[in-house]
Amino acid sequence: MADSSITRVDVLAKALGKAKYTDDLKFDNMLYLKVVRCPHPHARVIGINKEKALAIEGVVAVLTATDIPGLPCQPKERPILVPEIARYAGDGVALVVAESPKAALEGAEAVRVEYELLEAVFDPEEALKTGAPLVHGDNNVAAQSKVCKGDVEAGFKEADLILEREYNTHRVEHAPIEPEVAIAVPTFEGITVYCPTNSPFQVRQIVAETMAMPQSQIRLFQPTIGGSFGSKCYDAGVLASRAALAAKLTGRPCKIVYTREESIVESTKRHPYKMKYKVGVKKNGKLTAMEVKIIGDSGAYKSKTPFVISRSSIEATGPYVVPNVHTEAICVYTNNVTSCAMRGFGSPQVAYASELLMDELAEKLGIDPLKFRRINGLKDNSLSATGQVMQNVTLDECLDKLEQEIKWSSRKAELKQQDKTGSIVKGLGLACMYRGESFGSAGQGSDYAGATLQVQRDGSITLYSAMSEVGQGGHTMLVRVVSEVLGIKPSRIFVSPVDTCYVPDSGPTVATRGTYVIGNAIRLAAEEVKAKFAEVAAEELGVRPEELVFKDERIYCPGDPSKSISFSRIAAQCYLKSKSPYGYGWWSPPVGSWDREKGQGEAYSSYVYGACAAEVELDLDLGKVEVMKFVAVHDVGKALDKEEVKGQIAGGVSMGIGYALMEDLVVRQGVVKTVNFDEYLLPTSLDIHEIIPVIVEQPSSYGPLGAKGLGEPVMSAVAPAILNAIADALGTRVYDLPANLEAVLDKARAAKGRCCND
Amino acid sequence: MIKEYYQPLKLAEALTFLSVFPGPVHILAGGTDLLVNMRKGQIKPEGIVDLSKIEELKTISQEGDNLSIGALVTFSELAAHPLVQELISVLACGAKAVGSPQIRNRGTVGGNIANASPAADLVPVLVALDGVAVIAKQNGLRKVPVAELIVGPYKTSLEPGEIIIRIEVNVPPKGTGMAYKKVGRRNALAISRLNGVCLLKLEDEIIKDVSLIIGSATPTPHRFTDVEEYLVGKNISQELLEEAGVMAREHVLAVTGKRPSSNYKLPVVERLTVRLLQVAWKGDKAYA
Repeated sequence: MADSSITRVDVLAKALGKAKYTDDLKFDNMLYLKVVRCPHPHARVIGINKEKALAIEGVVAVLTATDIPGLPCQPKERPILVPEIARYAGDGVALVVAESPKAALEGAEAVRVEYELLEAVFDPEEALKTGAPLVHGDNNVAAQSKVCKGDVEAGFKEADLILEREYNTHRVEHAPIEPEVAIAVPTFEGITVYCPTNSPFQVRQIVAETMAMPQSQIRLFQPTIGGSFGSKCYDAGVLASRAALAAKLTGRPCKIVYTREESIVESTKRHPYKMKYKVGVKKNGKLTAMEVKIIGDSGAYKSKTPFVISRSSIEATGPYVVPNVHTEAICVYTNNVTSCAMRGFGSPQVAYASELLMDELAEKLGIDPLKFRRINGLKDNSLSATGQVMQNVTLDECLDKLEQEIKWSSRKAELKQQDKTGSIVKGLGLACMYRGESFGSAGQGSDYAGATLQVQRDGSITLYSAMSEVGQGGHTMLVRVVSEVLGIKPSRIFVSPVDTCYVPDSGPTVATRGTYVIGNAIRLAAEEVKAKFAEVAAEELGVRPEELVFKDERIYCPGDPSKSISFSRIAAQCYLKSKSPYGYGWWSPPVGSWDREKGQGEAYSSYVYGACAAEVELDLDLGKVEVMKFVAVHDVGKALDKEEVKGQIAGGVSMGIGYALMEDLVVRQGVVKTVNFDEYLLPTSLDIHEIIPVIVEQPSSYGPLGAKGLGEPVMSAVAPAILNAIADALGTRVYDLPANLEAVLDKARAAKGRCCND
Repeated sequence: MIKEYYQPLKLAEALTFLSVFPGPVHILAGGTDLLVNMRKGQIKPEGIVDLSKIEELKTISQEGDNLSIGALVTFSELAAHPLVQELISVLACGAKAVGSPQIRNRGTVGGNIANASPAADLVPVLVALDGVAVIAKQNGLRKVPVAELIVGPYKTSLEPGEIIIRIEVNVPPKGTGMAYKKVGRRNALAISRLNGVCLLKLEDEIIKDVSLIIGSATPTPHRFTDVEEYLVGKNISQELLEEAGVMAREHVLAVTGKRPSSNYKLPVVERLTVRLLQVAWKGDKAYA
């Protein structure tokens, strides 16, 4: 089953340039929008003078918050247009509507906004102090989350060694190749919005709230999406709402498309964290206690911060048995650009800290770092930090495969012998990860997916879901599941475009829930079709339905080759006999108990595990790091398509290399400085060397056909594996991300006994 | 707003256009800097003269001890040219260090000089080779060393109506060691954090001649003559190169003073200098 790869359903259109992205769409009489943004991190809008802008030829209207018929936003969320207070340098204040992009741009430059500057705060710790400028509420606290198990003080008393460390992770940009865009077309019945988003129903909800219209009157159509990495949810909702507002008020189609600079200045980012870890360990390597304090920067608005911080606190100890845990995580409002969901969603930050910590503990105790992970790693029936009895734990299998693939011990020994007198040194490091699948019981919102199948008269199938194909191969996964259940060729299954008018709500394509949750919904839909078809076929063949097998486009009795009929014939029979050829699936993961006060309970119904190793080459003279080899082992439950799995791993590793070494969104006094890709540096093909994906398949109890999600896990362990390899090469550690030229050179020189200012 | 876009086939036509066009006019060669700056709104030309169809500016030829490089030669063409590879491989290294294949296919040697970025990848090589820019205007030619033509960051002494038409560089004597290195934050599409070039001629282990530049370290690229003079006439040794490294670092500090970037750049200038000299001395390839 599923051993051979199938052609991705979206690949031909994309490779041949036939795929239509939102910016490719054209409508008669279309208008263009440009946003006027507040350049100040915190300011009250005193007045907006539209006169000069309206005098420009081609400018049709200048819209402000007072034009919004519904809500500018939910409390503490980023407004579609600022009603009074702008909370970061990027908040939209006015919207210029014009006959051409050029007129819209000129109009935006001509709008005069008068501001009263308010005191701003940029550092989360400063923002918590009494008397700090308030961004929201009366204390700037955006969200808090705790995990408390056992007695950490007692645990520290038992320890032979206590280590305290601080780690800082930085703010990074999603950088999908397609910036934000939306087109709204007013219709007699309502509004149709064309928008690339990973959360079509959520974006529709935001538009409906903005426009004070019933959700059913907003039709959201998802054209081809040029990547997301978590960014195209609320950000897309803001754009879609702006376009809808202008379309409704002008009665004409309206397009809004961001330049890269606008995208980087306005859009949400990954949360920067400051993490303080205190950990106790016995001489034999057993962890006794861990105390974790996390303070994160939520930026100007709430967004998904409560869910991000909740996941971070749950996963803060890493995939290890720690008898006594006390984790307190807090996220704070500042006048920085907003933090929100980004691939990994609170996992990469804590995976970074906990894996650097494990490595340093191993080093201090003189225990091999891989062995140290085995000593403490979760196993079946281990208790997690939240007191959950873990099942189906595959950390050891992942470590086994990692050990084999990279030849851990012998390579370690070889590197120990290397000549370290020159300017080039090598290092080997590893990191493990685990991650709860989907939203979990700790409350990332209700978790469900609907999906529908219609078998056509000729036996071909149309598949309806809200799965957003953001480049991850989600549509191909759905086709594979249906193909496996019904025994028909993938090429006979057509995936409907996502259109909220027709497709069931499958929830958003986030949280590594595509395969797990939407995959299960489509499996149920396929099983419903199968049951209905088995009944019709059984009647035709004169057998009982349960005797039938669906395979190779046929429905047959394995015991009697003469009892066989083609799938397409049964499809035709359904229509002839007025039998339903539809299947509908609705699936929701099991929800466990959760004690929010203590952060104890069954945080997630299932977990994925992985182990990675990086071999780096450091140029000590220049501070330059090359990741020469990266081995990424991930348990995917069941690989529904091996090539897709390898591709997703390679993508995640590349993204992780950027996170570890070069990506860095520079913000000074609330103003983003790295606004395009000349300064915000993503890795290029020349920065990515050998990536070896290794697949572990331990079937999941819940996933469709045993599959587990992979989108986010592939990102988590990359940076810590690289930083541990750097430490191995240097003999000293970089604790803060990114490990850029300056950070590495500084450590390299310190290691050689040279001061950085000599 | 652009009122006139002119794409002549002859240099003379371009020069005439420049001399008569009334408003601000910019010269388009590869456009890899011009178009970016226009998009940012940093420059607003009314006239553009596009040199890309002028064939006479695209040749590379050897004239005696000189190699003449047309100003419209692209980085890709320069890097691939047999004369360059045979005579001055370090030029090819500098050209290959630029941006990405797309940028190298469009960006030109003349444009790299005229843009005068302190972080230019090729300019330090041209300066190290004592490159001379040949500049045309409607009624004549003048020749200016590249090092003098660039007077500050993004500033040249080019006057309105002038076009760089070619660059003449010395072909180093046979047996000259060469080295080039770029330090960027990533391996392609990077703006040089630092770069450097070194030409070294030895006779019986005595340094007869040396040309050394660390680029992106000072506002304008120039030969580190104090270091060069110290080295010439001395017996080459690792110790000597280490001394040169320290001198180069002091040279940069003297030019720039202490800056936020000094913590990184100064120690790297020192090591880079030592490595460039080592490669020029012993290396079998020019890329350090």
